[in-house]
Amino acid sequence: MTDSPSDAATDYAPSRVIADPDLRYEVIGTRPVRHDGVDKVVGRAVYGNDVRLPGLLHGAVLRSPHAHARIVSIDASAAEALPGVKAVATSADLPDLTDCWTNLGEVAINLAHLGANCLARRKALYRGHAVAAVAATSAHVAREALSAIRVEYEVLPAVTDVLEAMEDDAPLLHDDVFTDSMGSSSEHPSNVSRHLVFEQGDPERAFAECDLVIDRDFRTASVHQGYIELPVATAQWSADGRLTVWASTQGSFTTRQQIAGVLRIPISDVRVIPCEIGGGFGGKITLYLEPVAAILSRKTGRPVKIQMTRAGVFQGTGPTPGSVVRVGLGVKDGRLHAGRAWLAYDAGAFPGGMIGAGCACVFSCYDIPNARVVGYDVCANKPKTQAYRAPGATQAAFATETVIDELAAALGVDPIDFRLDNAAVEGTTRVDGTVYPRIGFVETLRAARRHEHYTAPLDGPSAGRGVAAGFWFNIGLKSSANVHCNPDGTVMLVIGSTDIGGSRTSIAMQLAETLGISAESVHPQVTDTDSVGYTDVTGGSRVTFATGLAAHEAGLDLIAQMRDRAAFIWGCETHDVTFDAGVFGGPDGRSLTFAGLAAELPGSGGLLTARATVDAVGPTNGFGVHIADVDVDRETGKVSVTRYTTVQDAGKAIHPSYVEGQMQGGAVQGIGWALNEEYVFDERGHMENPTMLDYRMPTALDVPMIDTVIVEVPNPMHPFGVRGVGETPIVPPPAAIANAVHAATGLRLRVLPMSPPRVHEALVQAGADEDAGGR
Amino acid sequence: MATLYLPPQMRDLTGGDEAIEVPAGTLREVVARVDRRFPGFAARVISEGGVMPGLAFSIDHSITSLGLHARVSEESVVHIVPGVAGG
Repeated sequence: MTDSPSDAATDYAPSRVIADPDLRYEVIGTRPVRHDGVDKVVGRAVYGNDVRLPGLLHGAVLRSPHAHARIVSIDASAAEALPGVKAVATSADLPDLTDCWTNLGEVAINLAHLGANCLARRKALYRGHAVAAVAATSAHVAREALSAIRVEYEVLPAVTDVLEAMEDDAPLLHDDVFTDSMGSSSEHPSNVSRHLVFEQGDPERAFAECDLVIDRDFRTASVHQGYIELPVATAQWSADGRLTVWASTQGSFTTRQQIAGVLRIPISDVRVIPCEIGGGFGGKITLYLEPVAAILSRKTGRPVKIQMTRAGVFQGTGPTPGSVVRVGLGVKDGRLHAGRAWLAYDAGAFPGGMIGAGCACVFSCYDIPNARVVGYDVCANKPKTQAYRAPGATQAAFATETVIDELAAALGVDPIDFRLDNAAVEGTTRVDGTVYPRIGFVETLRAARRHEHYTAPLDGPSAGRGVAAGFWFNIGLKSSANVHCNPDGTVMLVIGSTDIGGSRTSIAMQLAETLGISAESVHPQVTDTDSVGYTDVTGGSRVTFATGLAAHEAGLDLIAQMRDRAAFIWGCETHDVTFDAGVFGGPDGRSLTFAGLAAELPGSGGLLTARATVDAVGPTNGFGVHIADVDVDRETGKVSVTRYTTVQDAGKAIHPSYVEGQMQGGAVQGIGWALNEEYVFDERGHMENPTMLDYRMPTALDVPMIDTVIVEVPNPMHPFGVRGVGETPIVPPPAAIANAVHAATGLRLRVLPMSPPRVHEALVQAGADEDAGGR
Repeated sequence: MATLYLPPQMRDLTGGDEAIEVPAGTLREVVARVDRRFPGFAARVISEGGVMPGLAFSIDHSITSLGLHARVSEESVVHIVPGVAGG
């Protein structure tokens, strides 16, 4: 359902409105069939593993059996001698880069670390770290050859716990990583690669003024993005020096940039062809296989394809950071008056975790005039962490939203009312200094409070209900679109944004609305890096916002060109030609529909092409509120989610089904994070559960139908009011469920996941405490 | 004049001052003029002629992608924030 903000927006009038909330659209807001639907349903869509080329070789990757070890030597001679083996690659085949950075739009990355993560150089930094790779005539031969590679290791002590890794005497992963404190560097190498401090107001004084202060400690485990499609890459390095890569990636252009950077070759020599993608969630922005397949192709002169195994995915690709978070909040006269937070996120094997976002998000939903936030990015012997849907926000929200719930209970205030009393609004200053533009948090909270779920009766003594809120920044960045007009009145839309959640259609709909034609009259195509202008990653909840804006602007360009053509045909001036709702009008009542004028183009100078490249600003922020009902089995500790509702401000839902899909998918991933998912390490730093059987993601049987409410507070910085929606919905679930478990049991659980053993132990402990208290 | 707000970890450069007013038309001029008054500032935020990896500048509460070319006005407020990536 869609919830109108009309009765809620009176208190917070927008300061600048470009998008008109009263506009009525013909295409936007409808639910056409997705353009790529048939291909995907009948199995015709080409995914990375569908790529077949003449002479194709198959690759396999040898991974470190140790969590931390010096690589003394690698002897691949026996493997190279095996029949069918064509080449073996190690880090010696990659340029040895030192502190070499490239800007990927969202963030800059260190290419030296990226290369060393693709193939370990000098040290293996986690169990599963790629050490060597083989190309052979079949995948079986390649895998068999791995066992013939002799690697001599000097095993070193390992550390996987973020707090232990921060100790002075912890095993040191890098001797060239120092603690950066906003441009100031530590004297000695450290696992702590980054230290951040944010402050506003006078938190020390403010805490002393508070009527009520609650400080709590939280921990979350590393969890994986859990994409279903295994990472796969095929590379063909031609004799002319051109490298073509077929990739399962969230960003073909940033993949091209990273490949060129790691291999030290001109970016113009690299072409990346994005295949359909079976999930990414942030995990398919970085590279693992592409440079390795490329150097194997260069060595053999043949195309090489490598696909990871599922164990390789768990052990060798980035989970999201495990975290330790301490949050304190103080209330004065019923209002949040002071906040303090301390966050340590593990970055995995190389620096560059999500601590900046965690710090900026920890209090982002609320107006807290006095706050201090301290954060640490900490290397540990785990796979390099990568983005996962609102990276860094879920860990922080789990802590803050649990404390908010506890404060509301202590004050005897309804938890949504307490949030409303303290909600961030337009003009609120976040702890990192940013002042919010027009946002829809208040409207979202009100919609949640109005929802029937919030006041529905609960079923049974072991049932409980919780709520929590979530925030994500959203980003803009660069996108391009080409539009070719056909004589039958249809248009071809060429874009570079890989389609993960239905973005082909949501972008095509924005072009259709602009041109006054149907969504079915637009044929969207995602193409390679040689065929469209630069486009940043499909990530940061940006594609419907930014690539939609590019399509809109390309549509305006096409309309301008068609007005010129109509003027030529009618013998008038361009300014005499109007365009409204798909119809061109001219002098003396003449008019042509879009299709009518398109039919005239071939005979009046030729068909037309339009294009746009944008650097989109003003994505504005996403806010969501979730309501969770749980039932807690006191015998086993199993928490069952029995009802779940997500409420979120989408700005304007272009294709409501895809917005709902994002809200549902994010909620389910958050439920998995809350209840079951975790990397389990033994004392050697070895992941003990690198299979889908033991790494327990939710299935359809584990979750109820996720109800959705789309709130629409238009983004004033987008022509159709779009805000990103993809990431926010993963943020509230752990806290919403923890608050529901408290309502059901009286227990405050502050460690994720709230798995059956952990809940059972807490119930037993609570019972023991109660017995002891009664004696 | 544009106002640059320093994060707590950079206030050692200014003797504790949080906000610095500078006459400038671009972010490059903001950095240069602040560095002239508080030597060492540029080295904390600039690397190889661009913004230091891992940092970002927010101008009037919006992260700029224009780097040091970004324009600032007399009323602009400039913040230094860590770079944030989405998923």
